[in-house]
Amino acid sequence: MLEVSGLVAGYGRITILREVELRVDQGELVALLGVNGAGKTTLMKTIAGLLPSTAGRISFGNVELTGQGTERTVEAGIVLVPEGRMVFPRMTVRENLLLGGVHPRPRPRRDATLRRVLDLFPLLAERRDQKAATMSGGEQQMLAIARGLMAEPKLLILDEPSLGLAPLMVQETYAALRRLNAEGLTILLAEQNVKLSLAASTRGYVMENGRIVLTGVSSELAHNPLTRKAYLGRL
Amino acid sequence: MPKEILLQAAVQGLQMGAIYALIALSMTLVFSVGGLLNFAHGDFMALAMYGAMVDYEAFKIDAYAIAPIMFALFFLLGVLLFRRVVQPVLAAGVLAGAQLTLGLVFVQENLILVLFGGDYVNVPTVLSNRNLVVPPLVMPWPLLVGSAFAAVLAIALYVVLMRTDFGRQIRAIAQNRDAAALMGIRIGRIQAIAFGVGIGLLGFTGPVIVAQFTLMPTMGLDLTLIALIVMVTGGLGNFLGSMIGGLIIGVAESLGSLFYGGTVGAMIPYAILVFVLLFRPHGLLGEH
Repeated sequence: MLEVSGLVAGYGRITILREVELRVDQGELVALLGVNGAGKTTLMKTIAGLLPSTAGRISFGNVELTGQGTERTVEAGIVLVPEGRMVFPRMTVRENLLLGGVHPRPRPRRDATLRRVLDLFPLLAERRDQKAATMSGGEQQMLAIARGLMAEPKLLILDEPSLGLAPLMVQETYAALRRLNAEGLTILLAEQNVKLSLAASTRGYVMENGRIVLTGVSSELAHNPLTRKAYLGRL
Repeated sequence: MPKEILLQAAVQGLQMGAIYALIALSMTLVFSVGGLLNFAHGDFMALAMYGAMVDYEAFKIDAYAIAPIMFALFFLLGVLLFRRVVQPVLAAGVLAGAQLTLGLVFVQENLILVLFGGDYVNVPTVLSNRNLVVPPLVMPWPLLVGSAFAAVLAIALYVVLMRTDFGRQIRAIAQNRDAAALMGIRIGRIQAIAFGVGIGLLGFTGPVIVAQFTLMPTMGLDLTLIALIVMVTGGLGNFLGSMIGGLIIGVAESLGSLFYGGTVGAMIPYAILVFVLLFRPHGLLGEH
């Protein structure tokens, strides 16, 4: 479904990604692991079209996404829930959600999608007229995910969804992600929390210094000493 | 001081305030999508007023009739200007953008000077020198109609900003540009339209208030200055704040010149600005 090959990207003259290879198939929940600075966020931003690439290819289904902006990525069905949640702080929950479905592709079904998303996250339904800035980190994370769902994604990419959340909210966020995946949504998940993301995912990639250094089935990655090395820098 | 005079000044202040509110609101619209303070904002309005003058002298069509056409022309001018000039310069930073708009001030003011000379000009309309008398108030028709248009446009724009997808996209870009891009919002397109609407509103407002003003090439910067005071008083980037700020500054200016005469009275808006910022550094409705 998502095919990334030989991808080189970065900020200005600084190259972060060095020939990244990554694949996500229909229905999978794939974890992308790596320490802070390994290049996970850069990779996700580049896939989403927020950052330009200097070499390599990104394709989705049979759509070529290399060098296309976010407008085309959303059109194709890839939606990124960014690190730090990035909700619109001075807008209500409802307005945030409406914006999630503002793209011309999902727009015609927006009212129905909104009802479905609010059913999925009853807490957001209760808070629909509350300003996003006044909510807790966990609630904002939920809003960010719900806002992403409003665009009717075929592939939902999440960057550090558990970052800065209370343990209970982390559990709840992951329960929601597992449920969405079980319903057929393909998910690519970047996490520093190895245990959690490997438990939730079917396959995983480990990133180090802008390269994919290890890939495999999640249960095997969990026991692979190289995974630990990538995190701790030594065995 | 007789109550009637006070009331008269207050009403006149509110009417000027509505006009200030619209100028400030359209400037806030331009500001909100690109973080650009358009120092040439008032000059676009001056240009629209001179446009009404040209129209009157050449075709004898009344300024009120030309307003919708001026809206369309200025909308196109705004979109074109944004796409061809502002957007590329903004990519180099907001400071470069501010310098650009300062440059536009000189371009427009000198263009007016070259084309129309430096004399004071009045543009007659069907409503010139007519008053509506509602005892004890005497209201000049040009101001009444001009401010009514401004008030309606300001409220309409506010409703569009708060209630429509277009308005939500503008606010989204202002609040978090990257997040807006991730929704698939076409940032450049929305920015260009917002810029066009902001300039277009000036194109409309210029002719409908032209009878209230004496035209001179440097009048634009005065309007920009007032709009800046209004924006900062109300809270920079806040749409509602711009409207409330406009009314406050309008009334303050009017009552100020009533109590203290023209020179000292003209300082009252600045005094209000300082006073507001002392207690609310982000303006009346400013957040962050």
